[in-house]
Amino acid sequence: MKIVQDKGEGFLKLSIAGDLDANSSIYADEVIQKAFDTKQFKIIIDCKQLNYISSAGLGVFVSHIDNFKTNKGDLVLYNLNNNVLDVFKTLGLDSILKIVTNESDARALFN
Amino acid sequence: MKVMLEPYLTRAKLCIVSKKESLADCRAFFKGRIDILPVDTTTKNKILLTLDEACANAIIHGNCCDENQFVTIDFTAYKNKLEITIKDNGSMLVNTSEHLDKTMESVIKNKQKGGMGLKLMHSIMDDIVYFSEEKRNICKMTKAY
Repeated sequence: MKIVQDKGEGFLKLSIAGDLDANSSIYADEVIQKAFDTKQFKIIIDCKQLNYISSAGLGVFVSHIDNFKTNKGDLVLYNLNNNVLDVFKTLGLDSILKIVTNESDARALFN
Repeated sequence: MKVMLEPYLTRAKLCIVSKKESLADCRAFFKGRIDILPVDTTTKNKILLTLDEACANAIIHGNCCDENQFVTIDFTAYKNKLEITIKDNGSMLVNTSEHLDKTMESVIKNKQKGGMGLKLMHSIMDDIVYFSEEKRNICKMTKAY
């Protein structure tokens, strides 16, 4: 799994590629924790190249979301493929987390 | 007496080293076998997810990520049902209701990183049974199609 970070105007974009499972989620967790520690609270996450997600991957977003919201930020996911989106839907997380179709919709939430 | 054996579509047994890095190899190994099941793509993806979740539990909670231990996966797909048995070398008691009763709102509030795997597994498979036998944890899952 690979995560590319791009700093935009007022937000941080994370592009996740590969599989987010019990093994790789440790790294993803570190990246998001570091963003929080450096006070980057508005995060958009491009999942276009995210092939697979397990519960450990979901846990990365679920465990941090409250911290970001408390600081007037959020984690916004977009470009999810059907397989990945279906995992969020199975647990009803699609209606709890912010999941949008594309990057412009994700950015619009922070404008 | 003549014993009739139920015909199966595919059958495989895999033994993996008890480390999280083994999970990707395990998924790659079983993906091709799951692909031949007579179910739609969404269900195939969910079965692969269930298998991954159960193996992760065995590695992390059963064997405590001890790389000297192993996890074995027995995968048998019959014409109309799938049976998966996963064994580790631990002897933990799985309290399924503790995890299944939790709402996602409480998981978020408590900033939990884990505890959602069992919920996913139970939403996909028809039946999941955990038991201990000869100092091994056994997770037996079935799904009809």
